[in-house]
Amino acid sequence: MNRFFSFLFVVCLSLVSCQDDIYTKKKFVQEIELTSSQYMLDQVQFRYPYRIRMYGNKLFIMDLHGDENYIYTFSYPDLHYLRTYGKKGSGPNEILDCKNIRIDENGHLWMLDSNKNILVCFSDTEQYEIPLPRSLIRTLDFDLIGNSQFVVPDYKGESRCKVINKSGEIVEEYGEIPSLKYQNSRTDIALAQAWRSFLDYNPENGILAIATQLGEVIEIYDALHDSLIATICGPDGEPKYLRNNGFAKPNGIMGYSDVQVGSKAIYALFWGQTLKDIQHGKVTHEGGNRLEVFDLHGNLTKVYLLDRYITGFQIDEKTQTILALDPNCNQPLVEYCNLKSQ
Amino acid sequence: MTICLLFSQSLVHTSEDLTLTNLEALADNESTIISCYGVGSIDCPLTKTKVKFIE
Repeated sequence: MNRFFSFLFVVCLSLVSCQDDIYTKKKFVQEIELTSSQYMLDQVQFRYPYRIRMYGNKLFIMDLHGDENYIYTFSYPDLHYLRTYGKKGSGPNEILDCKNIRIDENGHLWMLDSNKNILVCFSDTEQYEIPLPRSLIRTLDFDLIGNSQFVVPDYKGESRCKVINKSGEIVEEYGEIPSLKYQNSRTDIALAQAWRSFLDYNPENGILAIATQLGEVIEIYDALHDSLIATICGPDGEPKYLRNNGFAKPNGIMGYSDVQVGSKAIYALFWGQTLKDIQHGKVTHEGGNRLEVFDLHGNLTKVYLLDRYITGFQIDEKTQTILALDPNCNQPLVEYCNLKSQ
Repeated sequence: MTICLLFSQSLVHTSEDLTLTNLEALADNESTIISCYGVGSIDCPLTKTKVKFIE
């Protein structure tokens, strides 16, 4: 009976928060509880582990607030420490502010330094930079499109995201901020700040997913055909904010913090705490424990309820395992196995 | 006028050294203030650091 009322509550909230038919609404689906196993990484102390990537038998972990370095690599699965990348600093070849990392087809590490406004590529022997267009103002996430282009969210709100080539030039742009509340002023920079999002692109199927950090909205694009497939809206709705001197002062929720496009599914990590509760100290952890799974049409198919609050994850669809980062403990690397049998 | 203050606050209970906290406030006039608090994952448009919340 409680489950029925929960369902009714979610439906009512959905109707209130997502009033327009252009949004796909989340439907009630099966929730599956997952239990983690914890790995030991003895040689590294992380401050705020945030992104995890895998390439072959090498594991990359990014520390959002690293003391000296931003990225640490380990062999996998034996987890021997290998080396660091991205020395923190303002000098040449140093990183001011690492926002995300990606691994290209050749196994080279790419890093976004938002404060230097550059993308940096590391191989084992060299490091080179690609300047991002100054017109972007500030770039908060990126992904690779093949070996020659990058997709980044549009911080100015002129579009939803832009495609950059290796010369640092804008070559294409996608969509617009799908705000219903501000549909007459969607190119506003404060609106774009509030709609700051994380994105992920899968070159195998051409699907680009964009998940709002401060709301409960996910957009799915078919980048190969330049079309919007779906905009999915949950009960907490679009990002809420107050405009303050040209800045966005968010006052809604912590929404999504990581998203991954798989071969037939999209995975998005949802936090769901209100910023008011965080501000008042009622939330004692960092991260979310709801891993939502959508099909490529935007239908929510299941939700994994994790036993930990995590900030970033990497799903291996072949082995049906999730590697995840729990910043609330001293050993942040955890694994969830046997997803298919759940 | 720009006001910058610093203070400390424990944020992640298992990492005592994770108390680096900052507050940056911008006052364009006396009634308009944005402040960024703590260590977290929200990008502060003023300090260009990742903070826990913006007020």
